[in-house]
Amino acid sequence: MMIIPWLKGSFTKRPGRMLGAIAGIAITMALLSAIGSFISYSGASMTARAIRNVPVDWQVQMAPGVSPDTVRTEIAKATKFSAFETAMYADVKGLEAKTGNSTQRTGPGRVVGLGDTYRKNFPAEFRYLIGARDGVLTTQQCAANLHIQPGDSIAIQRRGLPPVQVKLAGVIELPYADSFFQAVGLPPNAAPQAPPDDVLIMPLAQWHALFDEQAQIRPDSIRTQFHVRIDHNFPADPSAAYTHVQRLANNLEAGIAGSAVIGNNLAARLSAVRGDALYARVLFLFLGLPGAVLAVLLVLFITASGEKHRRREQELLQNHGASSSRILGLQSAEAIGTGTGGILVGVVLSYFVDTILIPYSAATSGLIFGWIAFAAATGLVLAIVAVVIPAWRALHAGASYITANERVFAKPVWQRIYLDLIFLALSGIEFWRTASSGYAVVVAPEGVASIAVNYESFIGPFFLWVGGVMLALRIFDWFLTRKRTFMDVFLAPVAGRLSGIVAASLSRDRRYLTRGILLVSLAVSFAVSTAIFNTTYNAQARVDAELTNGSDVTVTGYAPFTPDDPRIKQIAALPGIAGMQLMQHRFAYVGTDMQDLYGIDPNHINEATTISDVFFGNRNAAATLDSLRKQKDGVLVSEETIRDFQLKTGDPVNLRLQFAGDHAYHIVPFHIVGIVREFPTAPNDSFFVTNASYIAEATGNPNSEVILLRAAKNPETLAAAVKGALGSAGVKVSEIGSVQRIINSGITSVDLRGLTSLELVFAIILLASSVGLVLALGMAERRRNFAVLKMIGAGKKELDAFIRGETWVIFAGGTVAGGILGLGVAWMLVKVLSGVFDPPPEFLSVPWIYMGILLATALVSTIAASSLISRLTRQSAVEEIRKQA
Amino acid sequence: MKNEVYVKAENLGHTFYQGNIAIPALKTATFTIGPRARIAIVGPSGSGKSTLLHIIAGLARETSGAIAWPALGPRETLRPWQIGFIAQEQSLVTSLSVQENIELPMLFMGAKRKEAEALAQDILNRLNLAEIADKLPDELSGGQMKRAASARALVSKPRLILADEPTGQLDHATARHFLETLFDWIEGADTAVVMTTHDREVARYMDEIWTMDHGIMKEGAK
Repeated sequence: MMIIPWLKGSFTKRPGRMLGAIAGIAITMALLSAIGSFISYSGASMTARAIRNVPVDWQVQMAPGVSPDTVRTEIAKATKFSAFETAMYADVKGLEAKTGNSTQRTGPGRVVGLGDTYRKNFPAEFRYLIGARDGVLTTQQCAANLHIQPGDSIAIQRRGLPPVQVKLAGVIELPYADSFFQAVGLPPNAAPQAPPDDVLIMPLAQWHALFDEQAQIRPDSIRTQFHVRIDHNFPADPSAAYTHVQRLANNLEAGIAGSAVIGNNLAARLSAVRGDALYARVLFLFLGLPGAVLAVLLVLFITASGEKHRRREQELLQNHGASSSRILGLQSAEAIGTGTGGILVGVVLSYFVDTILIPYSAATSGLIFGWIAFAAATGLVLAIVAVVIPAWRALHAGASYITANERVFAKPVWQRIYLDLIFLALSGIEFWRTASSGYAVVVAPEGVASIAVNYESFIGPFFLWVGGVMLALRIFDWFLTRKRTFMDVFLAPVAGRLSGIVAASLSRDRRYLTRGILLVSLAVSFAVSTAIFNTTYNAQARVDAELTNGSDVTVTGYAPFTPDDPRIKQIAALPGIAGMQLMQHRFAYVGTDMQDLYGIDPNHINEATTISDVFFGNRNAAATLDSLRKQKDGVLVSEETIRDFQLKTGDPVNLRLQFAGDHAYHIVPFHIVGIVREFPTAPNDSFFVTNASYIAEATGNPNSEVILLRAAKNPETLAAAVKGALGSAGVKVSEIGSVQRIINSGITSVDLRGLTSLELVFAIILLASSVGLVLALGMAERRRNFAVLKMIGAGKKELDAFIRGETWVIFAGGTVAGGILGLGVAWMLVKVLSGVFDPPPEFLSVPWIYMGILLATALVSTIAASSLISRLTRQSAVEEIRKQA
Repeated sequence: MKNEVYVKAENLGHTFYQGNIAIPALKTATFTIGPRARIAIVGPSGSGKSTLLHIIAGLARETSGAIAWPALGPRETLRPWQIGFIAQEQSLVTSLSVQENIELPMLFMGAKRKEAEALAQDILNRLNLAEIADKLPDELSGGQMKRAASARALVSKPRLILADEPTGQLDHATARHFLETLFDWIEGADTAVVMTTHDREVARYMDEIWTMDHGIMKEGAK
């Protein structure tokens, strides 16, 4: 019978506390469900994206003499499939073409025969550059080597048979040449084989006409593969999907043992993605969970701030004969009331937030509602913990279980055992351990197929966060108790001549103050670390995309750009270009190994693209480019080549480059001037960077293959303008935004924008709530003191000195400690998660505008709370003293 | 003695409202208070004694009649310069020591910290409170709190001291000592004292006794 009046009384007498608790529970729920939904959804979308980017799921290679029907039947038994194509591979001695007076001949190559429906079933394998899409096709590199174009003839040097002539129909690119030409059936740890440089693709019927005879004479030079797309009904999580696909392949291998081997491209891709998915999960947890913890602390703080009233109510109830169980029952009803309110608001908020982050559909609705249900259960538990447990403690501890002496002088246990310093030491040790292991956060234990997150790596940043906040509290505590003179000066700007007495008052209320500083500094550090990490992450994702694309806008042509190419002038005349640079992209042999070679102008390359310090071995871009400029025949060599060929800076090195005169490869001497790790557009780890002028002079070919453009404003607009000016025939124009969206070679492909925007908004809400509620509720607790001050003659000025003194300490202490700590945690997080970045960032990116908004939020909340409490003190002092007596 | 009027009230009334229900705490009171007045207000609980004192102190507003402080100045500057108020309830600032509590009125009046400290120590010694100077209110007994609050009301040497049951929690001996100290403190000054009390012994120290009955004040001589 008492429950309804009790609840009614709670809401009418303590509306601030009750509504604050409801809001806190709702925020906790929204954060939890947002993080959970986003983790699940991002895992599923990573799986989907990974699958989408695998052109052929399985390449099943038959053993010689095995009946294709047998293998096909076994595949059908193992899994459903949606596409099944035969691909025939023939090794040839070489390809030859005559252009004008010269004859170009390549080394060993490969000719592939594909069925008519192959292009339709596996369209991602090809990118058409020039000419027809049917007939005999070759790759861009092979066409460059042979100096041929559509319509030219090529002689195929078959093994054991006389050459045959075919006519080239078109030039293509094979974006997935590595997997298309993979050596199926090699042991897992075998070194990967480079795809052949000289390739022809032709219709299957034509291939049979040319190579069936070679298959009879040299069966070792012929391979038959089935290219299969299997049914994509997988688990959503990349790890589970990987296991599923691997098991299907194992099952098939058991059935076709000895008859065929499987190249499991799908499992290989999922294996790479599952690492990224784990990184993503860790990232979301580390970015999102502190916010949820903060929201929980806020709820606990709000309910704890009513402790005194609760004790008084309990005493009254006990005096009127209520039993402990009856009192706890009433408090539980209050918890359920608060919890229900919080959950109702939380469900609406969570649904709203989740559907902003995740596109709502029948497929995602289960995921969203599942997480909302989990968050609702957590909200209810939180309400019970926050209301019932303090009530139970108060009942069992008695009415005056905190004496004045205890309240003022006793140091908290953690201070006495120096827990803050222990945490900071542990943070340092763990960080050092993680650093010495190369920041390996996602690890693949030896001999185990699954991979795991090394959660220990996060002990460093976590303990830095907790230990740092505790140390800040210790320092403030020390200043408040031991350094009154300092506090006197510190408070002078807000408390004026009353600063001394205000400092004395604050030193006695330091338990409350440190609690306020704790919440505010946690909120500030959460907001600062999240904002800095997110900004650094986004900046780095852009660097990654720029590295892949080359610059904001990159133009590559099938036909190179000659120095007086009218297309260059056309592009240069376009509006919106901040910088433009021509770059050579050739191929060079070091020994028998062919590598990409980039010819640049070291004086001006910076104008069109970002050349970062981390691209180079000495971590100094300016010095490296300067040494290249000073040494005409200087070359920057990749780390891998330096290691493989036992080279060092200063060594001479001979590369073979194709000369313009005879289209043959000749030796060109270079001197190594530095080590390069990454370079714009460089697709792999082995490449050279050198002076374009030297290449032009040595080879007699001054042409450039790539144009890099820095956009003054929007890269997308500039790319459209370039396409409009040049047309699309024989030219590829790519811009950074689209590359950023399709990159899938790392976690930076995960679009964090939705989640981070949400986190940043929540961070501001949490900060405003922490500052506002801490101050308002804390000061409301001690309204009586303000009433006494008023009674003995304090005017508005004097009351404000006390109010502002308190708010100033909490605001300044919380924001300074939180700011420093947030910076430290962001730095450590970026270091620990350096595996996320490719390349790792050189420095943290600080979002100054957001920082300004944070500071303004804290300031406005402080001022609002001060005004509120100032308004509360306007009530009759006598009434207030009587009410609280 | 100067011929001044500290407080002048006519047909003073005060009505509380609980929702729409009017509760008249003080129905009518007409009086003047001059220098060196010694007035005890007596009457049963709920008769309006404290309400009357609060209105005189400027802590509550009259809802009918009029009150003025001709020789003390405007309402805003009454406390702590002209009026020292001793509340019935515990009224020390819990986060300040006894000495710091006593310094407060002086600081509000613009005194330097050192000056306020010296004055506070002086009154603490005179009221035999020196040993509790550094204690916090939570560490004091009810009587000690009341004496400390009284010391705070006296330290600014106001011209009118208003005390709401100042001896309510004190034994007779302590109450007598308190009153003697109070009068000793204001000896020679024009300070007036008005206090509410249930204690006829205490009332005997005063020159006038006003009796309150159901919100109506009856002025009378000792």
